[in-house]
Amino acid sequence: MALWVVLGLLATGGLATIALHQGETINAIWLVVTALSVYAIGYRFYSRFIAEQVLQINDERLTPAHVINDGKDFVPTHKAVLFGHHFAAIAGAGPLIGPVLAAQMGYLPGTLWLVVGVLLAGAVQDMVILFASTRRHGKSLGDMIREEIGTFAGKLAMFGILAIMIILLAVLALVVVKALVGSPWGVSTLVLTVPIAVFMGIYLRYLRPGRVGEVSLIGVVLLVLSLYAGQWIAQTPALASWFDLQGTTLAWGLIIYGFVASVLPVWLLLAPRDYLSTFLKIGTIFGLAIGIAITLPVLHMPALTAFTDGSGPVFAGSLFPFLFITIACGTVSGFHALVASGTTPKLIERESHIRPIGYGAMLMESFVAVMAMVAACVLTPGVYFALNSPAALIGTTPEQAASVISNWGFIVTPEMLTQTARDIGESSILSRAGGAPTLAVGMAQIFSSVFGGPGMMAFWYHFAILFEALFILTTLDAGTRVGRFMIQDLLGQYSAKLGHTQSLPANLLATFLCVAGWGYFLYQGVIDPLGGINTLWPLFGIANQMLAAMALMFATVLLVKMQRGKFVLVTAIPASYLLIVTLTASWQKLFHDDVRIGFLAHAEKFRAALERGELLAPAKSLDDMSRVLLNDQINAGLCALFAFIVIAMALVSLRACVRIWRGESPTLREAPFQAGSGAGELRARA
Amino acid sequence: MTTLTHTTQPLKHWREALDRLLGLPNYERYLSHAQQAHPEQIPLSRRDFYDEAQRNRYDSGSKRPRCC
Repeated sequence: MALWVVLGLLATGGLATIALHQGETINAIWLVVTALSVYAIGYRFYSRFIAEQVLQINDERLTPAHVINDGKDFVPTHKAVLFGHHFAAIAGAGPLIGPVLAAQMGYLPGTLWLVVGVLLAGAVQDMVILFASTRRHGKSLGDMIREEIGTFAGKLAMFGILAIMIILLAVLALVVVKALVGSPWGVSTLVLTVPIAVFMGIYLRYLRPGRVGEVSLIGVVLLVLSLYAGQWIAQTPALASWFDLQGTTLAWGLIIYGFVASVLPVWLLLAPRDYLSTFLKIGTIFGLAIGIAITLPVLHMPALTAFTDGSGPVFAGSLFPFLFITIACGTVSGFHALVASGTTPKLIERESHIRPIGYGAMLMESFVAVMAMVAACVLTPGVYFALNSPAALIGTTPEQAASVISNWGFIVTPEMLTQTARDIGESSILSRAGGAPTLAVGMAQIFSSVFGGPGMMAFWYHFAILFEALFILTTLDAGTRVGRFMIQDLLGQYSAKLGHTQSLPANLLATFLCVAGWGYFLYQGVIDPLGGINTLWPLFGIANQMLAAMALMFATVLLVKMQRGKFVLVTAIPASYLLIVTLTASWQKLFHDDVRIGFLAHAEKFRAALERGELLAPAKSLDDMSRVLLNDQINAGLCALFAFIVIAMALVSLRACVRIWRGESPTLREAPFQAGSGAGELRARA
Repeated sequence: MTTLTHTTQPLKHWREALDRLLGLPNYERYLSHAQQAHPEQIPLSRRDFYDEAQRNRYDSGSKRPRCC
């Protein structure tokens, strides 16, 4: 008990300190300690309440892993092993990028949303969906929504998932492009990972089938060598010019790559690279944690900046609602509802493990996001803004950038900007938006002060870029496949031929449609003078939180159907909050007067200029002008579509609840209860 | 319940833990299951097993999506 009192004091003290801190800098330890003590309290009390009172978890009930036990997909798995499986499946690039962008408003708003939001929204969602799926033999979210709410709701979910997938792939590809423009070191290293992965794939299929551990070890060694090879290439002018690419070239490269990679057999490229990026991801997360713990870096970013009013250069829009969609994955992520209803429920050994795995893994994900926030705020704010502001605002030379940013109140000199670029082995750090480069500079600063000193800064920078890029390429490849299957699913309803997943032409058509979808948004983002992230990240955030809102609404219907109506607020409050956030954000993205925020206002500006025959930057011709106009209209249409989907889902969920409140008897489609004859044995092993 | 003996131990079964971390099933687990539950059938070879597992992992649409 004394422990919890101490932790309670630590949490409140920590929150008070980070919120009320006056002064130039604050030590990162405050953020870390506060986050960890808040998580501990939330886990101990709130998740226990959810497990025991709300869900009434029952260890006497056999889980699908025991009932079906097929030795492959359904296997009772030790909770530590399953925690690793689940965490590796939910952790991605998202939680690392969102906090970096949100840092423009200061470290405080983002950190508070991360640590408080995860307790009340993200972890709750993951845990309840994992529970629901475990009770239904591991059914997917879409299937569960269809069975418990209705066919229409199921279709909405399916369509929502496809739309968010397309936007997610576009925005992640844009992050890679932004990180690699004019960086021969980064590009050549990334290109070298392709033969490494192919080698691993052949090794794994023909030489030593299934030995993923040893082949990944070889892969990691080759990867480090490729980093040095990349450095050598970048320093050899004749070779460097081959890899010194422009944004549009990189975008086309990724689009073609995405198409080719996702029609190749999985064993050749996708699977081995996925293993490599999983190890790299887990290693990097631990490395970052150790680095922060050893160096205890000082944060230079203020608690709050003037940009909370919505005038910030990194993304436009005020704190409410845009902070809450910018930091999506680290606090609450709709995608986790898909993972929690994927493989994890089929491996759960007993129901009480749902709490550490569903709730616990999400807390860890939130902590990763807090570390990303630390890495971004370790930078001098002037350097942070130079990295993240579009060229349209800060110009293209260090002198211009330094003078603009110093005018914002973040003092920085041109020398500091050029020196930072030299330290990380790049020609410039200006306008490298998208989060990855900022995170990489922050991580390089932290890592190099633990391992290797300042001389290693460039190595660590490119290591971090490689880690992000490799990871995102895997997601592009795998995500395009997921999109392809979903498109074939949709097309198959109209023409059976197009739905055949084994048919090559049908397969190529669906892949083409998927790549064209994300490729369109990617290309549009690359040529956008405001950097593209400005437009695409909010769309992605809205879509991601929308999916989370849908999952939480489904969870609410489930609680009502389970006759736990008195606890309905556990999921209804986060669902409503996300509903308010996503709808306000969509409304503002559509109708805001500021051309940086509202798509329609921006379209109107270009339409009016087009009528007068005027050219507005970035357009260089009247054709360009019409294209900008079309992009705005498509973005606006997409935003309206998201809003429509989430409103429709809210209405059908509400109707389902009202029916039950009116006295209709609910039909819960849980799998039949099967008592473990070994339940006593299970308890004894606890 | 013979099933209860099937549970993994992270240190003893580190290979299986590694497979699970990467989202794969484990061949040894499958083999012992197959021999026990379906002794009359010939189990998959190691290569076929991992081939099938990888295809299931990536080519099953929204059932196993990628996370951001």
